[in-house]
Amino acid sequence: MDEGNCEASSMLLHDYLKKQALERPQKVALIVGPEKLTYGHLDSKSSRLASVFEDRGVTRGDRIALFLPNSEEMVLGIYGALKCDAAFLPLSPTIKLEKLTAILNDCRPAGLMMGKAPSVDPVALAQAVPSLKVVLLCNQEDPLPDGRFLSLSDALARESLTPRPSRNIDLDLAYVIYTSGSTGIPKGVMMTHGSVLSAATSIISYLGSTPDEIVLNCLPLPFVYGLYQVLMSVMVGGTVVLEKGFNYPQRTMARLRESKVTGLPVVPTMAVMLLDLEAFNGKEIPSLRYITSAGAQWPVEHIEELQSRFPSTQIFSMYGLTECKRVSYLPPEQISIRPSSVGKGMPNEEVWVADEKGAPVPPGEVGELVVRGSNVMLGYWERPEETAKVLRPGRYPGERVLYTGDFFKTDSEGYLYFVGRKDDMIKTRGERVSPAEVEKVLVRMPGIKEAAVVGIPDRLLGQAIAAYVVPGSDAGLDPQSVKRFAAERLEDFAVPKVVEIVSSLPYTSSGKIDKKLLAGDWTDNDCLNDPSAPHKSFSKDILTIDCPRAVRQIGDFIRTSVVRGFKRRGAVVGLSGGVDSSVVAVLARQALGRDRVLGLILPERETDPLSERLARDLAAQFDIPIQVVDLTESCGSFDLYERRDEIVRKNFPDYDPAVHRYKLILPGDLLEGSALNVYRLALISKDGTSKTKRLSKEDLLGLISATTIKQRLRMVTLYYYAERENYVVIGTTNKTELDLGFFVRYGDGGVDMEPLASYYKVQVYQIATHLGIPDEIIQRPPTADVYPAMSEDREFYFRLSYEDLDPLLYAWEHHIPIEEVMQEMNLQEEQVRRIYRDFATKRILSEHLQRPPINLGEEFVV
Amino acid sequence: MTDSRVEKFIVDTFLYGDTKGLSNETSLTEAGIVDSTGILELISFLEKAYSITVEDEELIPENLDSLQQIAQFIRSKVGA
Repeated sequence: MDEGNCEASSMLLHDYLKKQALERPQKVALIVGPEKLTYGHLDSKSSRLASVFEDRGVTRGDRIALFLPNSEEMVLGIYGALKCDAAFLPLSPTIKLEKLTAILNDCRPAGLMMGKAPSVDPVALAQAVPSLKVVLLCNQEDPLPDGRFLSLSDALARESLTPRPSRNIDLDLAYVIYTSGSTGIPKGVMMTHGSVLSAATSIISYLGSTPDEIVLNCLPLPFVYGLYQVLMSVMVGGTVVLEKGFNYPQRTMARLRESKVTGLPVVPTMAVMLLDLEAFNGKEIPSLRYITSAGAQWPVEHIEELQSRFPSTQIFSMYGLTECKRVSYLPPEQISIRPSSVGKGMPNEEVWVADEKGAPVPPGEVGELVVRGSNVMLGYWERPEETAKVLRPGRYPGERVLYTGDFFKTDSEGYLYFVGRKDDMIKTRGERVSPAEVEKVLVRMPGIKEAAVVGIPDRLLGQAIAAYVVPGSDAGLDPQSVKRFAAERLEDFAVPKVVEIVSSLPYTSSGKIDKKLLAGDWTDNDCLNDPSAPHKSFSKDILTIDCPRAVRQIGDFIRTSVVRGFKRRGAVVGLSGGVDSSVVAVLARQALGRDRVLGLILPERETDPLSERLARDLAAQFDIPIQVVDLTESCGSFDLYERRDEIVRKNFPDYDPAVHRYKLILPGDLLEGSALNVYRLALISKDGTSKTKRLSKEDLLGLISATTIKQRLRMVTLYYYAERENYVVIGTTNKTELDLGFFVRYGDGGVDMEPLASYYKVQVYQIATHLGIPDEIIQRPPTADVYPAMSEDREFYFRLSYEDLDPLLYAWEHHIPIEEVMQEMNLQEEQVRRIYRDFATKRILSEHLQRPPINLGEEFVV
Repeated sequence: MTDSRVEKFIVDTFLYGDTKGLSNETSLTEAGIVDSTGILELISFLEKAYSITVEDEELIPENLDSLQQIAQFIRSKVGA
């Protein structure tokens, strides 16, 4: 085909620069600080740069990395790269050496432009990246290192060639931008000229931009929202005022006024800071035609505030992602009608909210947003698998559509509402919670300026909701009032469990709140187990704790909770002769003193006499005052023994309480086989023989409900003494038991505080040893005093020994890769999966045990 | 293939008629539909409805953890 004939339809990004240089050479294209650069100069300088690149061996299809701040050099680099048929790779100057090297060696650029980067030595970098043929140093004053290096000023002064004519077509790459996503490994998003032009043309059309446009851009150019400000301005022949960043709202204000800015792209944080300035309003900046927002969910309050300050400025709320640049925008006239919507797909693009199979869901239902359009990326650089995950078959053979990984819903008119990032969704109590939804509520609270919500690991809920809030200037904000505010407006499960008041939030280099950092905060802190080494790799010893430290912390907790939290004089602990109650009693004794502790020994006729003796020995050794209360009569008055004997006799007609003891057991070890959790009644006679029988549902419930009478009578007794002494009741349930539901609601689970709630059983043993608790207690197999025959925890509930159970529970909760777990625990994959399944089931089935009473909400009162 | 009687029993007994989230492959234990009491109810239903005896060694997830597995299990029991 004759190239000349199809010129108009084959305009590439840099052709627009040439066009503007021809049509309006004196027009200012770029303002950076005091410097102004015309289209004529931008065109000629970038051509010279392109010819230098070509001269140094850069050829069609190569990449040129631009490791630069927002600057004239960055813009020259973009067009220089495009003009020599290379793709540019913009990189934030905040990237550290290690990540930078990894990205460069992934993308293998032939050229690199960099400024002064204090943390990155150009020579070391060039050595680590063998693909580099040329390194252009901007702001270079010192002598240059070896032959690959060149200074930008020399290059632009010395060479006056023009590059060869471009041979690229619109299917060639224009840029590669690395995005971390949530997995942490950066992937290069490849965009062709065609895709960029498609996206840019659509955006220009809805913004209605003309050559009169003057855009103030504070957003980093390695971030597509920032980059397109420049690309689009060149397409229409407008002017970009390029700021290095957004650090001084006052300075931005001054820029807006003096440059008579017509378009201002912001991210929500910028908007928040600008709104702090009284002068940020339509009267002060009459030139401002529009404000756009993208990059993060924009709280409705800010939009409303902005619109009231700028009554005649158009406000565009938009949504996009690097993989297709922009997805949707809300027409400004809609913003007062549906301020929380991000609108509809932009021109020349089709979007829908899809179910798991990709089919559209009805309005109101949540699904993943899918984008079909020529603005969608080509794929991730050299990552076919990752690409196939997000670009999936579309309408026609060979077509691919983009699965955004973002959850949305639509209203009845088809407007889109962001629900949450698929990977960000917090799963708490089995419910999916969108952080954005919680954040939206929090920022409505007077006194809260900004809020970020993340999921943090939680022993009970899977994940718990943590909120970081930044108070406004005059606010006396406290976590309790924030929780109350949230509780009045959100479902129970969506109310933050933890509220941290902070002076500011951390941001990523692309201007989004760094949630990984916030959540990471907790992964570290939450690791009570070993705060000094939160990231150590998984091993069987991972639960080894610093016992002196644990003892100090638990002691402090008991003391402050009793004195300040409950305002009581001391504490009551039930002593069973087991390791948990022994540890709690000793810790309470040490924390509160002899006169403020009471150990209660509560046997009944079935209790192993050894239990009482061990409890007495412990009390004697640690000088703990005790009281022994025999509960046999109390239990008898509830017909506990009769009710159970009747059921046992029904199943074993020869049952004789004088000869037999009985207990409930589960099938054998989980490591051995996958038998279902079906309870059996075991009858053991004095001569040691035993037999078992599967129970009916009625008999199982009958036995359990009768037995829990005992647990609850113990609690009644503990509370009697606690109230008589003005004490609290301290519980002895550990993390393993709480996590997997091994306690009785309003029985041993119904106490005032649980100091062992974050310690696994094996850690309780470590503390016990450290405290010098008698060996006899430590060596005794962990048992539950529930049935006449001694029943070990493992046969009655867990089907695993604690030595195996606890590390596996840890691995399960911390998502340790299964290969590591198999190797460390010396288990087969099938065994690990079987155990995990059992954890999941136990957790689901026991979750209600810890739930506070559910109350009927006010909205249901008629 | 599943068995409509079993399905009806499970839906009526454990889900109060709400079939949301129940497919032929749903793991009844992992989904929290059947707990240790529920499994006993299920076994006793199967034994009565199909006049079979479920042996202890048959109490494994492969036989009883989903509608599909249960149907297959019944077929093998009744056919045998």
